Amino acid sequence: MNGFILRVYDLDKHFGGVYAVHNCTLGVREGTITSIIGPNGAGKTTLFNLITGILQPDKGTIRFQKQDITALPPHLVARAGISRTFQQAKVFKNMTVRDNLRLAHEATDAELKKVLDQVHYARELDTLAGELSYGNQRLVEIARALLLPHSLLMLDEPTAGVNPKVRNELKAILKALKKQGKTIVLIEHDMDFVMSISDEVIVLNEGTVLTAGTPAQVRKNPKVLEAYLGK
Amino acid sequence: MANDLLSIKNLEAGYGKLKVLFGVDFAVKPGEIAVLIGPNGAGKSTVLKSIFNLCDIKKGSIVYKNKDITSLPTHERIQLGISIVPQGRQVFSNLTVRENLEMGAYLTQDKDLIETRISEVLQHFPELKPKLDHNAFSLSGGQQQMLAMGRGLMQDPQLLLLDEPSLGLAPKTMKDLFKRIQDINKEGCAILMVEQNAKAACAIADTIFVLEEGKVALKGGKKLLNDARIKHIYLGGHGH
Repeated sequence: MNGFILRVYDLDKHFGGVYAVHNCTLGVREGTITSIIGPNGAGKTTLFNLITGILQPDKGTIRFQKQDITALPPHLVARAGISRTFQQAKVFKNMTVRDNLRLAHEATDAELKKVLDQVHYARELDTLAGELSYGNQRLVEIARALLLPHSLLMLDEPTAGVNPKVRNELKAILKALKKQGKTIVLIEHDMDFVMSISDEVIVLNEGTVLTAGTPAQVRKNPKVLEAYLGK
Repeated sequence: MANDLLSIKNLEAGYGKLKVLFGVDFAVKPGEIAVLIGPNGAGKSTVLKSIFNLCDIKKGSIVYKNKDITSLPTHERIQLGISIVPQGRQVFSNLTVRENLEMGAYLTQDKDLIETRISEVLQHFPELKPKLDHNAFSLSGGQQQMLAMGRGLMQDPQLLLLDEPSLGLAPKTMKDLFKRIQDINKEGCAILMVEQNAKAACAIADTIFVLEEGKVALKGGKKLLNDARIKHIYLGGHGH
């Protein structure tokens, strides 16, 4: 089994009186696709924001490739090798696709096109990002995350708001990236998507890990459905 | 059917280029509690927004009290007796509790009627009475949810749309709130509620609709949650 590329120990983050993430401990193995699932408000996006330095934890440690990245600011987390996308595709709408991509990394048109090919993006580099469909904006955002030199790719709900065609493309893209040796962590609500591509599924509930395992193990665990349906 | 309070047929809706609902069909009877559940992104909130004209309706029809309201502006829907309590409460935090309630009666000119309605709302939510002159931001999460519901009741609706009323509430507060929803319903106001806490919502529901990928996948009564298909809808695995 591969070693851990990312480990989170005993992480806490509260907002007012509510713990969004509480005593959260988990690990992501190198070269795998790991999905983080859980009901609304389970703390999934907060966990992403803690790992990528957008939020600072109240307590706990985050280690990435043997480096302690706890409380590093986002640009240093990115420099350490973690690239991410957001729940709502965040592209600069008034900028061309080319300029959006070059924000992540200086590259020639040929290099940009290569990355865009990788995400099955078929439009021109000169197109304004705001003129693209949401699905294509999503692909540009993923391409931008890919351009940033990284060893861990974190995707927050990559299939949210995209049509079934793009969803299937995404599935193929992630599988291809894994084949290249990339490690991918995703937050995802589309369970068929999760179950079909993940090596490991981590279930969060009320800020903490409820269970983790292979997709089949997680689906069989009655506690998981219970967490989704509420008390 | 003619005796439905609200009837939605083949509804396709979304936001700009993004389509969320792909042919939704369901109906709410007068005086019932109907609950819409389903996984994230299934389109639950978009159904409520369609009924209140807060998103783009592309196809299909919404009939309320036998009147086609599909292309009616929001304020006219309010006048017909539909109110919405949006997700995340959305109270006006810098206005007082009284002013928030008055905002709910924006379409009413009659000051006496507004006073009567406020006192009716306070019967449902007596804890708001000592807070009438306090700014809404000073209220607890549960009280803000009550205020948002109170504001929704100010037009004396026959159909109250509730979007995730339990969001961010402690279990005890949620239980209390659901009791108030039942009380409001007993006075004849039909409820259409979207709720992520499926178990709690179904416990007070007359009819349950399960939404999956922009369509109604299942319909039933209180026991619907025991249906084996629920697991597939929430955790995937169709055809596995």
